[in-house]
Amino acid sequence: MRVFGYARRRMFFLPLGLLSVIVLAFLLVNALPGNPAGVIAGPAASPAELAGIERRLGLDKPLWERFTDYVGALVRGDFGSSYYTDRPILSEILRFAPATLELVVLSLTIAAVLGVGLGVLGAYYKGRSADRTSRLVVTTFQSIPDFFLALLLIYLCFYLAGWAPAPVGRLGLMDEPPPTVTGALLIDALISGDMRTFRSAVAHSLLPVLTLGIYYSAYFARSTYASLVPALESKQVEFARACGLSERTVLAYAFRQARTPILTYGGILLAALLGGAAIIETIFSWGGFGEWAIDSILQLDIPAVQGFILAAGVGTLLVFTALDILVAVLDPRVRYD
Amino acid sequence: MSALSAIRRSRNRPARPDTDTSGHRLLEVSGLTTRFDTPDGLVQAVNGVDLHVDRAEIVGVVGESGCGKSVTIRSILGLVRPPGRVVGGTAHFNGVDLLTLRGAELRRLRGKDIGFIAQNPFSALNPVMRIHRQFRNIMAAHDPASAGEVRDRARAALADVGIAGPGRVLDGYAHQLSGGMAQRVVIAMAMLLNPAFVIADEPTTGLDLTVQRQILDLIRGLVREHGRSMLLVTHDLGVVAQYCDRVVVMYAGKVIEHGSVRDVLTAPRHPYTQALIRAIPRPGRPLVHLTGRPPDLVDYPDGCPFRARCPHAFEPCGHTVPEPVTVASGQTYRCHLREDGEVGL
Ligand SMILES: Nc1ncnc2c1ncn2[C@@H]1O[C@H](COP(=O)(O)OP(=O)(O)O)[C@@H](O)[C@H]1O
Ligand SMILES: [Mg+2]
Repeated sequence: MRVFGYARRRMFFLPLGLLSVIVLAFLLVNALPGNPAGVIAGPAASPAELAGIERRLGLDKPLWERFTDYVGALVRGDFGSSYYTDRPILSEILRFAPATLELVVLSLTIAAVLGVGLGVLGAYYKGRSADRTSRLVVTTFQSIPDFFLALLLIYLCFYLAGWAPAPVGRLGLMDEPPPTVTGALLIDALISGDMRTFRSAVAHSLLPVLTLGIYYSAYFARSTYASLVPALESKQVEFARACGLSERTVLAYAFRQARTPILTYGGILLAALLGGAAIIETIFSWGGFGEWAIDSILQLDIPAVQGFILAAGVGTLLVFTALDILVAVLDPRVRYD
Repeated sequence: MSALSAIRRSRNRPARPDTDTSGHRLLEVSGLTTRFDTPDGLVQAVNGVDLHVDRAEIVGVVGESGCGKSVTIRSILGLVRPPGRVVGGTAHFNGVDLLTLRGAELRRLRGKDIGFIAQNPFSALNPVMRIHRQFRNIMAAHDPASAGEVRDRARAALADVGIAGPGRVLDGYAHQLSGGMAQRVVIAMAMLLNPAFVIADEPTTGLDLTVQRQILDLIRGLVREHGRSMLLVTHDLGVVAQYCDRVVVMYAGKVIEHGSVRDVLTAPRHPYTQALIRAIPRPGRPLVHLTGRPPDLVDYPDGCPFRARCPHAFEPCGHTVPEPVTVASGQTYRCHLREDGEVGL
């Protein structure tokens, strides 16, 4: 099958991408301003103490040596340890990433359903009242900053109405976390069979997922609208109508034509949100990957920041590769070229 | 074969009487008016078009690009979308006014009673759907019970348009086909449900000359063989001469002359028709290009729309719209000039 050939050719570029990500992760961090040793030691430290800390962290070595050390360790699966907690970075990543993945995947699913729906409605009824309504909703969604939307939803749904639990994390303070199997709390709660915990996890996911879902639905709505309007005006749709096809089928034809750019946009959002949901994670005490990254950056915890960049970069690389292959599956013109 | 010899040959074809013999009439369009309400103003694309097609007749519609040919047929088929709107007229097909039909009623006719052959097959066919599935959707839209025979029917339709390996074409995508093959697929789709009437909008634009000829021969064969009727839109009078029985000449959204191909091409009455004929390349005669451009359809001129480009324009042309004048054979034109404009072929 040609799709497999295409996929194989596409995956050929993965190692090259990986190397670039490693170099980038190293350089970005080593070009960061500020001296981590100074931060760790505190303002009252003597020069001798400072030098001692620098030696312990390996900061006194030349750049090139630090890089080869870094790559050598990566190959051994050693991502370094946090300057502060001394915990191995790899296990930190594996601890925080599943929570973010859960948040991002659920949010983007909501965003896609809501946004594509709004976009289809607007595009199909272009120029009519449904279009104007859809556009008003989308503009509103997009003009409210996501952190503000989060606070608004907390105020309305938790403080005023009491529908949602307090934004204290993934579970209530009294809830017993399920044993870790996959690392993804919702799935682990389901596996453990403890429905009370599962319900609590779902309830605590409601507002953050809704916040990101609503906010990013605007992006899906806009890209759907932008690609569906020309598709609906295309000769292809006119011919489909001239053949007597129903409006439903005609819309499906137009959507087939428009779905590649929508999907591409979704992929870009997914990649961006892997590290980009930090503010929402922080507001809801989500314990996610972005939250961990922000803390690490503020503390100049170099191994942690490197680990974050590496993981986010690899995630992005994988998302884009999967996206390209998916596009080829959906569009024969790509895979037969 | 040159356009001229085609015109000469058409003289030997018996002219059809242009009088209304109601039983023969398949399509009768009158007063068709379509506008587009755009940000730049109201585009008066089609302005009171009258035309008819009888049974087993091929009628050509000619005119320069932008003169409203496509909008006319889109109006007839109910395919004009906002900001466009059909604001007036009737289009009786088999006695039913298509312009008054609602969604589902019109859908039942489209594809089944009226086949449509699009201009460019690569923009008409769905690029991301196998050809077989597109055939299946057409059949399912008209006869949900026919699902089991899709493949056989589609194979037969493709064989009818001269495609040698229908199975391979059905399993592939449009972009894998040549232009001529893709247009054959479109024709097969148009003819799939055996329509009595076919509308073709410049069906050979973009194909090379020999393929154009093959495609037009094919379409004519499929129309004549089954006693179908056709409205054939083209900007090429040579095609009209060779393939049509009657011709309708459009200018700025109006029919300015119509009649049998023999009459109109050998004795054109309207200066615009005359100019179109002079612009046909012919051996031994200098090419006389039509100068100027059609009028702005937003700021539609008073009087005769052709006045600004007309070598014979005189006083009444600036303010009075010419009424149709019919000469003995049924040839009709809209011009204030009464004597024959000599073109001489
Ligand atoms: N969707 C549209 N919006 C605005 N104007 C249109 C639209 N479709 C067609 N028109 C205008 O209608 C006029 C006739 O176009 P058309 O029927 O396509 O010409 P042609 O004779 O070349 O087929 C043109 O001036 C064109 O600009
Ligand atoms: Mg046209």
